[in-house]
Amino acid sequence: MMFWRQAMTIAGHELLLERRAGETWSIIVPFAGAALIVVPMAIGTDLQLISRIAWPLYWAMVLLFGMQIAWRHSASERTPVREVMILLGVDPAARFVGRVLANALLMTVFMVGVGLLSLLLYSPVSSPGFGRFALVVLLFAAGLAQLSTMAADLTLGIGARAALAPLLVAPLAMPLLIGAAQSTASVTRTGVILPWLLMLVLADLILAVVGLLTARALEEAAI
Amino acid sequence: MTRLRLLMVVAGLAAVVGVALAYTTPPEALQRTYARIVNIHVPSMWLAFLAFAVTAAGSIGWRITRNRSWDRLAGGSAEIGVLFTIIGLVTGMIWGRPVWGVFFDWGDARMASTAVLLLVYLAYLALRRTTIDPEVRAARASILGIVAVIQVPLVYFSVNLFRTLHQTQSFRPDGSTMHPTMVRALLVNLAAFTLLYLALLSARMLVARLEDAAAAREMAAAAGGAVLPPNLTGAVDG
Repeated sequence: MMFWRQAMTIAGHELLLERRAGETWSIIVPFAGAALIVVPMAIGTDLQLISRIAWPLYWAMVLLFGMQIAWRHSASERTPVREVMILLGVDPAARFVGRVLANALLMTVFMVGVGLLSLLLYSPVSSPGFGRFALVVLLFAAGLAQLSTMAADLTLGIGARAALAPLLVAPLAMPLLIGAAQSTASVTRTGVILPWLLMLVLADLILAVVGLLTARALEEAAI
Repeated sequence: MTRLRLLMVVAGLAAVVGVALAYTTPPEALQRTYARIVNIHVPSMWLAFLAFAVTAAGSIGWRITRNRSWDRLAGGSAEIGVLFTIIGLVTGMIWGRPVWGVFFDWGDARMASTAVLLLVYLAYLALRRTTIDPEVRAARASILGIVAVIQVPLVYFSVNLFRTLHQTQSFRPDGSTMHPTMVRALLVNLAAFTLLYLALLSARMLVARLEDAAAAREMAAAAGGAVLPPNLTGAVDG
């Protein structure tokens, strides 16, 4: 009970900070929007090609830009905040879960925003349907939030963090990317998405176990 | 030092015998002489898997003992693992072009998962390189070193999990699918590469120890003798 109370308090605190700073909406979403515009500029006027690659592009974009949410400047990861939490006896695992919940919620909102932009700009040839799409987005966001939160701790205070953290997350996020992209593609190809959804669930569970088991070590390494 | 030289000489001799045996094997029925590359490709990948397992063992060792030697072992082994993963990928691509028709097939589970494995360990090395404080470096790298090794069985069993282009294992419980002369050459090369790994790892550990000693001397000199270098809490130099 105490664990969840701590986790929910930390998640609320993270979201409050983000509401004040507005980093996700004012910086990360416009940055992803800029990337969505750059790609068709590079491809040219082949509208059919753009429509065909709309969903694969969407998943690549939300992976590369979504992870930025976890190491936004307003996240309460600075050493003084951590030290206070340790002094207060906050469970590192509860802190990890709280941060993951906040990051996952922000990533879900981010992914919906970028999804709407993709629909407007790319006119994808097929639509996976709202219910299925929402489920895939939630599973993808949960996995990416866990992975990015761990990477945030591993790279805290490193000068080259902006490049190093994505280098850590991108290869490890491959099961998430493949699961999400294939779920969307399978809707139109075969209609069977269950194996890909299971892949996402399995990846999320493995990440949750790893995150909880390493929470104390990550806390120690980030100080 | 003498032991290291001896190890290098033995590894070198074993490699010469391995190459000679590889050339005495008959050409494969379909792949002809291209099949001989297996004598470098398979030992390279075996060595990469071994090296990453040693990295994980070194990481666990550091977490338990906080002895710097374990961290040096983990870091050194990862460097060698990355080197041999690249050799494994490149030899696979050289073989793939004439036999499969492409250098790299993105649809192949083994190739794609090996490329991802390489990226993860490149990130591991980047994390080590960019973290300056040795204790923080060891703490952070040990977590990634333990977590990243999960990928090794995934890469190994990817050919069984996904039926794509890469063939399944040639050595099975019910016997080998290869000709006995090819098996003999491959086993000698596996032994030669393992000795080479031990020699490279010993040399890297020695260099890392010297680097650490030099860094400690530099810190002491920078402090001018009046101030002692920072006391790294919990650090044990082995």
